[in-house]
Amino acid sequence: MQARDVALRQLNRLTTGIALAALAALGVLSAISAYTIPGTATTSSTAATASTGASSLTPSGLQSSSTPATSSSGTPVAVSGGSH
Amino acid sequence: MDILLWYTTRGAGAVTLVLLSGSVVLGILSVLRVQSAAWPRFLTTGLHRNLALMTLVFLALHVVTAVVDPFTHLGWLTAVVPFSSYYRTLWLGLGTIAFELLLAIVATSLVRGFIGQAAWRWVHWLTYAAWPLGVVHGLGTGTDTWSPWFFALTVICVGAVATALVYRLVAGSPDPLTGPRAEFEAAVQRRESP
Repeated sequence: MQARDVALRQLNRLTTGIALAALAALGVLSAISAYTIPGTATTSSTAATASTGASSLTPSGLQSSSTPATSSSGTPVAVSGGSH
Repeated sequence: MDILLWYTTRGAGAVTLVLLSGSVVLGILSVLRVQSAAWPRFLTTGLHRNLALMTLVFLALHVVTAVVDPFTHLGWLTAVVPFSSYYRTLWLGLGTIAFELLLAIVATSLVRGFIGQAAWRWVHWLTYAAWPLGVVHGLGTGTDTWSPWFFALTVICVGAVATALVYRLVAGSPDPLTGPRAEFEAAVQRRESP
């Protein structure tokens, strides 16, 4: 019974450790992905092109969405890079 | 804000791949009844279960951040209906199937007592479909596919699972009752045959 309790404690410790490591990895890998392929914010001229319905190629050569995102100030902004 | 969602989607996808691979490896090791004095067998199965649940949490984060990202306009339908996305239809569709298979695997594991061992085992075999689908989804859809860090992570995960699989195939059945069971079945057949 004591051995079982010890093993259960070990399981809890391992699970907590892995969960914390996974959270840390999420932050680190998100940061690395941002560093390697950050995406770019382009000006409203790109957004105007996108809003015509035709897809446009970003400077990184990746296809942007046909609908531009809008910033909080109301100025149209298209974000590109990778999936964006 | 949407760019942060995009980074989180990519980070959560990578973490999900690692956790899922770890869970698959532990699942294979638990079948092989790997244990020692310092590592009892139920530690392998317990960690396997906890890793699977953690995988679902990060997978949910990966899906939700992708769907709510206002730039991509994927929509919630993409998360549940395979191949319904306008964007990279095939690769996202494979990811959706992998997501649903994992949901089925974890859900049936939680109600294993109700559905019975045989049904649970059949559904659990779907892991061998869900994991490669997830890997292919990451390679096909992933913005970071050819980034050295993501490529290295994928190679490590594939290597770990492949090694565990080969070990399982080579080690054969670790069931101590395999021999006696086969002898019993043979004896029954001899008795039944005229």
